[in-house]
Amino acid sequence: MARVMIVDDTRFARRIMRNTLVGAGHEVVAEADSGEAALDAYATHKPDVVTMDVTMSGIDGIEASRRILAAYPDARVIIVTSLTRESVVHESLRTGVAAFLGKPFKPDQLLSAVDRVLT
Amino acid sequence: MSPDDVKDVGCLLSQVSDQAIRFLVQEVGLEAAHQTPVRNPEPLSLASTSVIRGKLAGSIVLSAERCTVREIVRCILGDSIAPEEIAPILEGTLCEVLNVIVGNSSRILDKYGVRIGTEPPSPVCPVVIGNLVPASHYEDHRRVIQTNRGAVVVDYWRSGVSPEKDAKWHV
Repeated sequence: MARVMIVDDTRFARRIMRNTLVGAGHEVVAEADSGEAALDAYATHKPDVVTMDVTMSGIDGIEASRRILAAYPDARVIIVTSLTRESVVHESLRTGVAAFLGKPFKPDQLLSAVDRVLT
Repeated sequence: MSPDDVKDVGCLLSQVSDQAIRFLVQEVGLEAAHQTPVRNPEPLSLASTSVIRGKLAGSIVLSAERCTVREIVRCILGDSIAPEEIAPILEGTLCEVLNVIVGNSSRILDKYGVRIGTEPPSPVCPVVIGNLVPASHYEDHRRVIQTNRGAVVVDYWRSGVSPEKDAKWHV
Protein backbone atom coordinates (compact mmCIF):
# COMPACT_ATOMS: atom_id res chain seq x y z
CA MET A 1 0.00 0.00 0.00
CA ALA A 2 1.15 3.54 -0.72
CA ARG A 3 2.12 6.57 1.34
CA VAL A 4 0.14 9.39 -0.24
CA MET A 5 0.20 13.15 0.04
CA ILE A 6 -3.03 15.00 -0.85
CA VAL A 7 -2.81 18.56 -2.16
CA ASP A 8 -6.06 20.53 -2.56
CA ASP A 9 -7.16 23.91 -1.27
CA THR A 10 -10.56 22.73 0.00
CA ARG A 11 -10.98 20.52 3.02
CA PHE A 12 -14.01 18.87 1.43
CA ALA A 13 -11.99 17.67 -1.56
CA ARG A 14 -9.11 16.50 0.65
CA ARG A 15 -11.58 14.56 2.81
CA ILE A 16 -13.09 12.83 -0.22
CA MET A 17 -9.66 11.64 -1.30
CA ARG A 18 -8.58 10.72 2.21
CA ASN A 19 -11.70 8.61 2.77
CA THR A 20 -11.17 6.79 -0.53
CA LEU A 21 -7.46 6.18 -0.07
CA VAL A 22 -7.57 5.14 3.58
CA GLY A 23 -10.56 2.94 2.88
CA ALA A 24 -8.45 1.06 0.34
CA GLY A 25 -5.59 0.62 2.78
CA HIS A 26 -3.30 3.45 1.70
CA GLU A 27 -1.70 5.78 4.23
CA VAL A 28 -2.22 9.54 3.93
CA VAL A 29 1.07 10.91 5.27
CA ALA A 30 0.37 14.57 4.61
CA GLU A 31 -2.20 17.04 3.36
CA ALA A 32 -1.39 20.45 1.90
CA ASP A 33 -3.77 23.26 1.01
CA SER A 34 -1.51 25.15 -1.40
CA GLY A 35 1.28 24.68 -3.89
CA GLU A 36 3.77 26.25 -1.52
CA ALA A 37 2.72 23.98 1.34
CA ALA A 38 2.98 21.00 -1.01
CA LEU A 39 6.65 21.73 -1.70
CA ASP A 40 7.47 21.83 2.01
CA ALA A 41 5.37 18.77 2.80
CA TYR A 42 6.94 16.74 0.00
CA ALA A 43 10.44 17.50 1.28
CA THR A 44 9.41 16.42 4.77
CA HIS A 45 7.41 13.30 4.03
CA LYS A 46 8.70 12.02 0.65
CA PRO A 47 5.40 10.28 -0.18
CA ASP A 48 5.14 7.48 -2.70
CA VAL A 49 2.39 9.33 -4.57
CA VAL A 50 1.05 12.89 -4.62
CA THR A 51 -2.46 13.86 -5.69
CA MET A 52 -2.32 17.47 -6.84
CA ASP A 53 -5.18 19.90 -7.48
CA VAL A 54 -4.50 22.55 -10.13
CA THR A 55 -6.64 25.57 -9.22
CA MET A 56 -5.08 26.96 -6.07
CA SER A 57 -4.05 30.43 -4.95
CA GLY A 58 -0.36 31.25 -5.16
CA ILE A 59 1.52 28.75 -7.28
CA ASP A 60 -0.92 26.41 -8.99
CA GLY A 61 -0.73 22.66 -9.01
CA ILE A 62 1.00 22.40 -12.36
CA GLU A 63 3.81 24.70 -11.23
CA ALA A 64 4.02 22.92 -7.87
CA SER A 65 4.31 19.60 -9.72
CA ARG A 66 7.02 21.01 -11.95
CA ARG A 67 9.04 22.14 -8.92
CA ILE A 68 8.60 18.86 -7.07
CA LEU A 69 9.67 16.88 -10.12
CA ALA A 70 12.65 19.17 -10.70
CA ALA A 71 13.86 18.54 -7.15
CA TYR A 72 12.75 14.91 -6.94
CA PRO A 73 12.71 13.32 -10.43
CA ASP A 74 11.35 10.04 -9.09
CA ALA A 75 8.28 11.71 -7.60
CA ARG A 76 4.95 10.34 -8.76
CA VAL A 77 2.34 13.06 -9.12
CA ILE A 78 -1.27 12.59 -10.15
CA ILE A 79 -2.98 15.79 -11.25
CA VAL A 80 -6.60 15.82 -10.01
CA THR A 81 -8.61 18.72 -11.40
CA SER A 82 -11.91 19.89 -12.84
CA LEU A 83 -10.02 21.73 -15.61
CA THR A 84 -10.13 18.95 -18.15
CA ARG A 85 -9.71 20.94 -21.37
CA GLU A 86 -6.95 19.72 -23.66
CA SER A 87 -4.56 22.58 -23.00
CA VAL A 88 -4.52 21.81 -19.28
CA VAL A 89 -4.07 18.09 -19.84
CA HIS A 90 -1.18 18.70 -22.24
CA GLU A 91 0.48 21.24 -19.98
CA SER A 92 0.17 18.87 -17.03
CA LEU A 93 1.64 15.92 -18.86
CA ARG A 94 4.49 18.06 -20.21
CA THR A 95 5.63 18.68 -16.64
CA GLY A 96 6.22 14.95 -16.27
CA VAL A 97 3.34 14.04 -13.98
CA ALA A 98 2.47 10.39 -13.89
CA ALA A 99 -1.27 10.65 -14.45
CA PHE A 100 -4.20 13.01 -14.90
CA LEU A 101 -7.61 12.52 -13.29
CA GLY A 102 -10.64 14.73 -13.92
CA LYS A 103 -13.07 15.85 -11.24
CA PRO A 104 -15.61 14.62 -10.35
CA PHE A 105 -14.17 11.13 -10.18
CA LYS A 106 -15.41 7.81 -8.86
CA PRO A 107 -13.44 6.26 -5.99
CA ASP A 108 -12.35 3.40 -8.25
CA GLN A 109 -10.88 5.86 -10.72
CA LEU A 110 -8.69 7.46 -8.05
CA LEU A 111 -7.57 4.08 -6.73
CA SER A 112 -6.82 2.81 -10.25
CA ALA A 113 -4.72 5.90 -10.94
CA VAL A 114 -2.74 5.35 -7.74
CA ASP A 115 -2.22 1.66 -8.55
CA ARG A 116 -1.11 2.51 -12.09
CA VAL A 117 1.54 5.01 -11.07
CA LEU A 118 2.94 2.65 -8.44
CA THR A 119 3.62 -0.15 -10.92
CA MET B 1 -22.51 44.51 -23.34
CA SER B 2 -22.50 43.69 -27.04
CA PRO B 3 -25.08 41.24 -28.40
CA ASP B 4 -22.30 38.68 -28.79
CA ASP B 5 -21.30 39.13 -25.16
CA VAL B 6 -24.92 38.75 -24.05
CA LYS B 7 -25.12 35.53 -26.06
CA ASP B 8 -21.85 34.31 -24.55
CA VAL B 9 -23.02 35.11 -21.01
CA GLY B 10 -26.15 33.09 -21.70
CA CYS B 11 -23.97 30.26 -22.97
CA LEU B 12 -21.73 30.47 -19.90
CA LEU B 13 -24.66 30.49 -17.48
CA SER B 14 -26.41 27.65 -19.27
CA GLN B 15 -23.28 25.51 -19.16
CA VAL B 16 -22.56 26.25 -15.53
CA SER B 17 -26.13 25.60 -14.42
CA ASP B 18 -26.32 22.42 -16.53
CA GLN B 19 -23.08 21.21 -14.96
CA ALA B 20 -24.51 22.08 -11.54
CA ILE B 21 -27.60 19.98 -12.22
CA ARG B 22 -25.45 17.13 -13.50
CA PHE B 23 -23.33 17.26 -10.35
CA LEU B 24 -26.34 17.40 -8.03
CA VAL B 25 -28.08 14.52 -9.79
CA GLN B 26 -25.18 12.21 -10.67
CA GLU B 27 -22.74 12.82 -7.82
CA VAL B 28 -25.11 13.63 -4.96
CA GLY B 29 -28.24 11.76 -6.04
CA LEU B 30 -30.64 14.70 -5.70
CA GLU B 31 -33.56 15.55 -7.92
CA ALA B 32 -32.80 18.86 -9.57
CA ALA B 33 -34.31 21.03 -12.28
CA HIS B 34 -34.19 24.61 -13.55
CA GLN B 35 -36.73 27.01 -12.10
CA THR B 36 -37.77 30.50 -13.19
CA PRO B 37 -35.96 33.06 -10.99
CA VAL B 38 -38.20 34.79 -8.46
CA ARG B 39 -37.71 38.47 -7.63
CA ASN B 40 -36.71 39.27 -4.07
CA PRO B 41 -36.19 35.69 -3.00
CA GLU B 42 -35.07 34.77 0.48
CA PRO B 43 -31.30 35.15 0.71
CA LEU B 44 -29.48 31.86 0.75
CA SER B 45 -27.16 30.81 3.52
CA LEU B 46 -23.91 29.98 1.79
CA ALA B 47 -22.21 31.34 -1.29
CA SER B 48 -18.98 30.96 -3.15
CA THR B 49 -17.55 33.02 -5.97
CA SER B 50 -15.21 32.14 -8.79
CA VAL B 51 -13.52 34.92 -10.75
CA ILE B 52 -13.77 34.53 -14.50
CA ARG B 53 -11.01 35.94 -16.70
CA GLY B 54 -11.11 36.66 -20.40
CA LYS B 55 -13.75 38.31 -22.53
CA LEU B 56 -16.48 37.61 -19.97
CA ALA B 57 -14.42 38.92 -17.06
CA GLY B 58 -16.49 38.89 -13.93
CA SER B 59 -17.63 36.43 -11.31
CA ILE B 60 -19.76 33.35 -11.09
CA VAL B 61 -21.47 33.12 -7.71
CA LEU B 62 -22.99 29.89 -6.49
CA SER B 63 -25.43 30.23 -3.60
CA ALA B 64 -27.30 27.54 -1.75
CA GLU B 65 -29.36 26.81 1.28
CA ARG B 66 -27.40 25.38 4.18
CA CYS B 67 -29.56 22.26 4.19
CA THR B 68 -28.66 21.63 0.54
CA VAL B 69 -24.96 21.84 1.23
CA ARG B 70 -25.31 19.61 4.29
CA GLU B 71 -26.99 17.04 2.07
CA ILE B 72 -24.14 17.24 -0.44
CA VAL B 73 -21.65 16.64 2.35
CA ARG B 74 -23.71 13.81 3.83
CA CYS B 75 -24.11 12.04 0.50
CA ILE B 76 -20.47 12.28 -0.47
CA LEU B 77 -18.69 12.01 2.88
CA GLY B 78 -21.23 10.09 4.91
CA ASP B 79 -21.64 10.88 8.59
CA SER B 80 -17.94 10.87 9.49
CA ILE B 81 -17.55 14.61 10.11
CA ALA B 82 -16.63 15.77 13.60
CA PRO B 83 -18.81 18.65 14.92
CA GLU B 84 -15.92 21.14 14.91
CA GLU B 85 -15.26 20.35 11.25
CA ILE B 86 -18.79 20.94 9.99
CA ALA B 87 -18.63 24.73 9.49
CA PRO B 88 -15.33 24.82 7.53
CA ILE B 89 -16.32 21.77 5.51
CA LEU B 90 -19.69 23.27 4.54
CA GLU B 91 -18.02 26.45 3.37
CA GLY B 92 -15.37 24.55 1.44
CA THR B 93 -17.95 22.24 -0.10
CA LEU B 94 -19.67 25.02 -2.00
CA CYS B 95 -16.26 26.27 -3.17
CA GLU B 96 -15.35 22.82 -4.41
CA VAL B 97 -18.70 22.30 -6.12
CA LEU B 98 -18.27 25.63 -7.90
CA ASN B 99 -14.70 24.69 -8.81
CA VAL B 100 -15.91 21.44 -10.37
CA ILE B 101 -18.83 22.86 -12.33
CA VAL B 102 -16.95 25.89 -13.65
CA GLY B 103 -13.94 23.75 -14.53
CA ASN B 104 -16.07 21.25 -16.41
CA SER B 105 -17.96 24.10 -18.10
CA SER B 106 -14.73 25.67 -19.36
CA ARG B 107 -13.91 22.54 -21.36
CA ILE B 108 -17.27 22.61 -23.14
CA LEU B 109 -17.27 26.38 -23.59
CA ASP B 110 -13.84 26.11 -25.19
CA LYS B 111 -15.43 24.16 -28.01
CA TYR B 112 -17.94 26.98 -28.58
CA GLY B 113 -15.13 29.54 -28.74
CA VAL B 114 -16.00 31.01 -25.34
CA ARG B 115 -12.72 30.94 -23.51
CA ILE B 116 -12.68 31.52 -19.80
CA GLY B 117 -9.96 31.38 -17.22
CA THR B 118 -10.82 30.88 -13.60
CA GLU B 119 -9.34 31.50 -10.20
CA PRO B 120 -9.89 29.40 -7.08
CA PRO B 121 -13.40 29.91 -5.67
CA SER B 122 -13.70 31.65 -2.33
CA PRO B 123 -16.60 32.02 0.11
CA VAL B 124 -18.62 35.24 -0.02
CA CYS B 125 -21.41 36.71 2.07
CA PRO B 126 -24.66 35.58 0.44
CA VAL B 127 -26.94 38.05 2.22
CA VAL B 128 -25.73 41.06 0.23
CA ILE B 129 -26.03 39.25 -3.09
CA GLY B 130 -29.48 37.97 -2.30
CA ASN B 131 -30.98 41.27 -1.21
CA LEU B 132 -29.64 43.80 -3.69
CA VAL B 133 -30.31 42.51 -7.17
CA PRO B 134 -31.60 44.55 -10.13
CA ALA B 135 -34.68 43.32 -11.98
CA SER B 136 -32.72 42.83 -15.22
CA HIS B 137 -30.36 40.46 -13.45
CA TYR B 138 -33.03 37.84 -13.08
CA GLU B 139 -33.66 37.55 -16.80
CA ASP B 140 -30.09 37.68 -18.08
CA HIS B 141 -27.69 36.77 -15.33
CA ARG B 142 -29.32 34.31 -12.97
CA ARG B 143 -30.23 30.67 -13.09
CA VAL B 144 -32.13 28.94 -10.31
CA ILE B 145 -32.04 25.22 -9.66
CA GLN B 146 -34.60 23.67 -7.38
CA THR B 147 -33.62 20.40 -5.75
CA ASN B 148 -35.54 18.14 -3.42
CA ARG B 149 -33.21 19.42 -0.67
CA GLY B 150 -33.39 23.17 -1.29
CA ALA B 151 -32.47 25.78 -3.87
CA VAL B 152 -29.19 26.49 -5.63
CA VAL B 153 -28.63 29.75 -7.51
CA VAL B 154 -26.02 30.58 -10.14
CA ASP B 155 -25.32 34.29 -10.72
CA TYR B 156 -23.01 36.01 -13.16
CA TRP B 157 -21.66 39.46 -12.32
CA ARG B 158 -19.63 41.40 -14.87
CA SER B 159 -16.39 42.98 -13.68
CA GLY B 160 -17.08 46.32 -12.08
CA VAL B 161 -20.72 45.50 -11.42
CA SER B 162 -21.83 44.43 -7.96
CA PRO B 163 -24.87 44.89 -5.76
CA GLU B 164 -23.05 47.50 -3.68
CA LYS B 165 -22.03 49.66 -6.64
CA ASP B 166 -25.11 49.90 -8.89
CA ALA B 167 -27.69 52.52 -7.85
CA LYS B 168 -30.72 50.99 -9.61
CA TRP B 169 -31.40 48.12 -7.31
CA HIS B 170 -34.67 46.50 -6.34
CA VAL B 171 -34.57 45.48 -2.72
